[in-house]
Amino acid sequence: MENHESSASLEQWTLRHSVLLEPPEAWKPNLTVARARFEARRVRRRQIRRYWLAAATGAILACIALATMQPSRVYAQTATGKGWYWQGMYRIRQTFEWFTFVRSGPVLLPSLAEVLKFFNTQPLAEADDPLVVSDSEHAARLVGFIPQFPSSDVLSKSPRLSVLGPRSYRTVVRTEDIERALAAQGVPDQAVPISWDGIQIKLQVGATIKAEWTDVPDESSGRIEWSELTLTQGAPPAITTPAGFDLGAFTVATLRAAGMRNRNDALVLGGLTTTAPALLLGYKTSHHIGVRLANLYAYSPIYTRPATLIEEFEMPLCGAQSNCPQVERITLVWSAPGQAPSRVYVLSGAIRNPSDMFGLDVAGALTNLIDVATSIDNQSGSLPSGTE
Amino acid sequence: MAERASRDFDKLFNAEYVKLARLLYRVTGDTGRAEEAASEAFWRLYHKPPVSAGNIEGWLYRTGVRLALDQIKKDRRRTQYETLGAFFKRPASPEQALERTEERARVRRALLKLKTEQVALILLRADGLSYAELAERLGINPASVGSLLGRAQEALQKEYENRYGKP
Repeated sequence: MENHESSASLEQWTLRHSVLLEPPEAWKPNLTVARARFEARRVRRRQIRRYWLAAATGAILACIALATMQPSRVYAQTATGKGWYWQGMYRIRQTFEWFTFVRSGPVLLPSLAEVLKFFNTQPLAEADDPLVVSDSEHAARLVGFIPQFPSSDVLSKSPRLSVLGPRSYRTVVRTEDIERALAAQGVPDQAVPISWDGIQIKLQVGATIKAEWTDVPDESSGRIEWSELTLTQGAPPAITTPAGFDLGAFTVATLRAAGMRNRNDALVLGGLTTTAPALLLGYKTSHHIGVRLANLYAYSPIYTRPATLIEEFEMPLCGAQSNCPQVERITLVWSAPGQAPSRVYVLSGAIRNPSDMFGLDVAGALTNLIDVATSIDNQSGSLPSGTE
Repeated sequence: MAERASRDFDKLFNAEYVKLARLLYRVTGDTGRAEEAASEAFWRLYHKPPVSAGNIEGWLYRTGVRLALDQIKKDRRRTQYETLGAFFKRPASPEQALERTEERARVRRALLKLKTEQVALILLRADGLSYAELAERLGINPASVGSLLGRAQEALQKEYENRYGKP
């Protein structure tokens, strides 16, 4: 065995030094998250390959449409009505949206459910059951503000309206839970000050109006997009914390503990006034969650308003399926501080035919939801004059 | 056929991902980066599998170690990760923490000068693998494991002592 085994002392020296490099005992790489990320990457690559041709064709069609817009429009209106023309334009826009928006993909929050569980948010004062009202004037009298609804251009059906009274909640911060979740996510560079431990956060939510639609068609494409669409609006929730408590830093730590490992992503999203209340209230769902930023008024070069876009989808056990993961529900949360009083909106839609998260259909659904949201915000009168 | 390949890949992913990520932590000193390198190794295996379908595991581990080494060679902020890595160990005193952190950094710097296969051999051996397991995992001749490992250990010790002297 000459030269076939290292000497015992050399072996010992190496082991003594190698042992320093051992990973933390508490750390276990998260196989489920790794699988989910791998699947998302696999699907994205497949879709990119499939759609680059569609996008190129779309771009060419867009150029042709722009070059010949006037005669085409006349022809469309006189020959077959405006249906096919707008459907064609919609498809082009959908392709454009896919490339600019959907392709980037959401930031996954694989541990959100776990993080919400350890918040253990408790109700301090709960509202009565929702009260169904006949019209928006009745709702306005009950809640004390005039509700805004989508423009009839994008959503022509009448909603079912109900009003929910004020309620308040309380949660107690436990730093140990946050630290454990951060370690499980492999986030070693997030500070969790010990001074946060035991701090109480109170959340007060004022009266809200909820509008519900069922079987909502997309007015642009003429197809039914949403089996159910809800718009909830109310004054921004009030959060009470002890003096000196940094709610922004707490939100960032929570987002990272929930799986948003990139600090910059967490800082951007944590900077929105709607994120902390949404986390504290607990976005309850049995689905996997993806989060990203969206812009309302995306088509105005002058003015945009940031919104939090939440996607719920089925992720595990995708295997070799090509239509996985599937988006089941999309929600937009945004605030309109320019209104008097300022308002928070939650617009949420269940997609009738759940679709591949990187597919054109989801791009269409996102485009439609942003259109609906933008039309609500437009009516608030909060835009600078001359825009949109 | 494709379905079978996909099943095999899934099986390999489930069996090896955690082990590979923990091994790569020894190189990167950062959990996130270790997982990134492990994921990337699996992605490369999926996207561009090796031409010869001999020892897939060996290819995977060598690729993972190479990616992890490349990552820290490029990473100018390594010291920061070393410092943060110490947080998990909760050592007895600040002096001990500092000493361990510096020693850890010295070993990693020395490892950077070794060949990928040598690093893989040393780290897998430190992970408790026997010679037979090392041969199987890395796809090398079992009769050569002892000498290859010995040379790798010598190279590490030499590199370490050239840089920092004998203890």
